[in-house]
Amino acid sequence: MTSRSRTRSSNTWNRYGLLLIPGFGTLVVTMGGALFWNANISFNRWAGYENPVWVGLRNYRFLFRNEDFRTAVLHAVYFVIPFAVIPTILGLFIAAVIANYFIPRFGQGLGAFMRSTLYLPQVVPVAISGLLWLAILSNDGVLNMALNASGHISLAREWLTTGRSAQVWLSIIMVWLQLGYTTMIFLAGMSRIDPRLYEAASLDGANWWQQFKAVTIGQLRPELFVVFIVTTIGALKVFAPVYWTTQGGPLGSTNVPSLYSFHAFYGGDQVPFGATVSTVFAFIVGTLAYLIARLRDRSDSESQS
Amino acid sequence: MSTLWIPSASTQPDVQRRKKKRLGSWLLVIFAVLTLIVWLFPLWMSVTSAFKTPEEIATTSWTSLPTHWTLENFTRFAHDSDFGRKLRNSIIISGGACIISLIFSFLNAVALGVGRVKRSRAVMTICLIVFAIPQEAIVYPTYKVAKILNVYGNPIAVIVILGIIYSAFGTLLLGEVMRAFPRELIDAAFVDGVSMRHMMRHVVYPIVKPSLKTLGIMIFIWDWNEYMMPLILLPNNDTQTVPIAIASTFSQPGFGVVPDIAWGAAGALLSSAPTVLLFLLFQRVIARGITVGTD
Repeated sequence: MTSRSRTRSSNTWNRYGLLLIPGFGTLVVTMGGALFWNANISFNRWAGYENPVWVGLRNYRFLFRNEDFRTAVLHAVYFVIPFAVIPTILGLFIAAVIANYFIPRFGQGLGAFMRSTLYLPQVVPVAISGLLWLAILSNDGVLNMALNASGHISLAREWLTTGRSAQVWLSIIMVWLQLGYTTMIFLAGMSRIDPRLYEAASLDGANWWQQFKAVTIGQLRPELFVVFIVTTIGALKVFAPVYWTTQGGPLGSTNVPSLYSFHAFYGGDQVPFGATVSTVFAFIVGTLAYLIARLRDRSDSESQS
Repeated sequence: MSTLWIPSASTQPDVQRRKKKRLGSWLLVIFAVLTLIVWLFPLWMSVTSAFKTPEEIATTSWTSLPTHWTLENFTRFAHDSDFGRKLRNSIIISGGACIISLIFSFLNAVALGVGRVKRSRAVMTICLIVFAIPQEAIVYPTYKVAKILNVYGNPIAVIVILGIIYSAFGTLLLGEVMRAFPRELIDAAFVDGVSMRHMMRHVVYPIVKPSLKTLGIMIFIWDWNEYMMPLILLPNNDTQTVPIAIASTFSQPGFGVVPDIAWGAAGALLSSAPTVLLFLLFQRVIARGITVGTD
């Protein structure tokens, strides 16, 4: 028996390893090559017409001294709040309300309806939902028209063309986009929780809030961790919700690093600069992902032993 | 579950408390209804506008239901934007990319989950990193390679790169599924002396078919809504995907406002319809899929 399993395991690398060649091989070559190429460009000076000149870390030094880039990074960090923190907390609360209140009273159908409604923004193309929000918030959009029609002209604002207001509305749009994802995952997690835990807690005299804190949050710890990390990574590299609404404006007040590098590439004359920004962010996000993988591996091996 | 909301037997049947509880329930219902209204509002607004005649649009408010329902805006928009062609582009691009992702993920997952190859943890970690990396970091080299290979502007470039990118997620998902396989099943297949190909086709494939379906729908929707690669690799609007082609039919991204509201709303509905319908049809399947990896 031992000898058979040994021969099998010594063969497995050869035989099964071959299956990794088309998929994983292509992935490593393409992604590794592209990332390496991109990093390489970031060490050069090149305006698109003459030959690239190797300048070492000069682009990076320039980048970190650049005021526009620093504000863009600050925005990305700020957007962690509407893109990750609020959807995680609100999603947990809404999932608890749906699972503990609406489903027992009004049935699974209503639960599914609420869940899909919240999830819709995740399936509508952001290019389209961005346009719909523009139609609501532009200066002669639905919101201002409604305010004018109802006689509240003084409340009408340039919602997206003044800096602070654009930041707030973009944040609202981000919550609108993300909440369905977090709620969906928490709801699935809650269906896994043993109802006896709640029974035990209520026998001990715990009220709803105490049960929520002790049972729900305690049992959903893995989901909370994954959801928060995934949405935080999403916030750091956020692109589409900004690109299809404010374009980073007005005057860079909603600019984010990914948009910054996209415009640098798209213009064609600042390619090394775009490469520098995206290399920095690929490094940050990649490191985060690596740490998550390590954490999960460790918890896996702990639960096995 | 309902035990949560019933005061436990030991507590005194206090009228004050019950009143408070009822108020709490009403607040919850109001909160839920408000949330749903806000979440549906952009779509609701497009529904009410898209079915109205131009005269009615001019005279009624945006949010009132049309009195005479018309499909004219949809046909007009479909004609103006050459919607049929864009739909075909999107189906080919998302479908092709999705198939590449599924094949690659399946093969990777068999090696990781069934074969338990060495360093499978490292493979999973790399897949996770690739899934997290922002696309700007690879978009310029991809554009350059597409130019060199003479596929710039050709949908095949988008199909291949998206297929590769999402195979990372697919490997993570299917890998987890196959790692949970009962060992005996695979061993039994090998004792019988079947070929690896036979084993994949007649043992592994039937078991993971539901997961493949989930994965396929999720990746198809993601591919459909993808923006960065199509924007950069497809300069010609005739080869562009539905969301991007439609968005640029309206205006340049930014503060452009659609002059013809009903026409724009019809376009928004028409271009969200494919993914929304897919989601509504398969929402149970998708709900199962997005939660993989969290437990």
